[in-house]
Amino acid sequence: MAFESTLEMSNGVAKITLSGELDAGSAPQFKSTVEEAAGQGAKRIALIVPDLEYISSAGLRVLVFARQKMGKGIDIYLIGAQDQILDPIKQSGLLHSLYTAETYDASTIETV
Amino acid sequence: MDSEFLLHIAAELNNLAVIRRFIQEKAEALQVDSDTISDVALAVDEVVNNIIVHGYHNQGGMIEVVVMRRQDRLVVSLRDQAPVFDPTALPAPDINLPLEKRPLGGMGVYLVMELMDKVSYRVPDHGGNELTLEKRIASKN
Repeated sequence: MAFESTLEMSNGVAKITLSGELDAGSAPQFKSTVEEAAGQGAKRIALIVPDLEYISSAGLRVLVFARQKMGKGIDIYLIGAQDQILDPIKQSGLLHSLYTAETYDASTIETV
Repeated sequence: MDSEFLLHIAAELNNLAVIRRFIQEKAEALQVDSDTISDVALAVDEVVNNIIVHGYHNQGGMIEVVVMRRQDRLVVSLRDQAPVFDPTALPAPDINLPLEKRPLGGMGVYLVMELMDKVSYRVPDHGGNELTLEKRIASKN
């Protein structure tokens, strides 16, 4: 499945929906979306990923890039991740730097 | 005699998904369980990405992928003609650092080492690099 990355701003939260396979070939598209979110002044990032089927370290590096570009105070939420997405995030030690949830709860996330 | 499957493919990022499909299809044909296939496909993806970006510097080249089953192990060998480089000699990154202090590099090789039971490197007689990944098969499908 081809990778897709879309951005929607909602009350200061950058809702980035990812689908398909996120590898080194598609990571630049994800990175561009993160840069667009930063340019729009996002205070938080919510990655909506129930339809994301695969992630390699190239995708994980964009998560690190997002934090480093947008600052320590930017919380990153991971919403609806399947095991094949969570496992490499755990193995690479990134999970403790993210918030995870099964569904997007605006009353919790959009309190910025 | 054990079956082996060979893929000779251009070293291009667009081919990463092709190589993952190849690993998946051939490992399934070798009756390997899905969890093992997922781990090996990710590890192969990381190695191939490094060959393309750091070995060939995105300037083209070829990669040879050999998939085989050896008793209770799925084995994948990756060969290239890039300058000699042993990724198993790289130091492991500190994965306990917070995101804002993490270096952007080093995660791929670290994942390979974490996911595989054995990773071995050698320089073939004709030059280039050969990295062999081995993963114990959890169960038969």
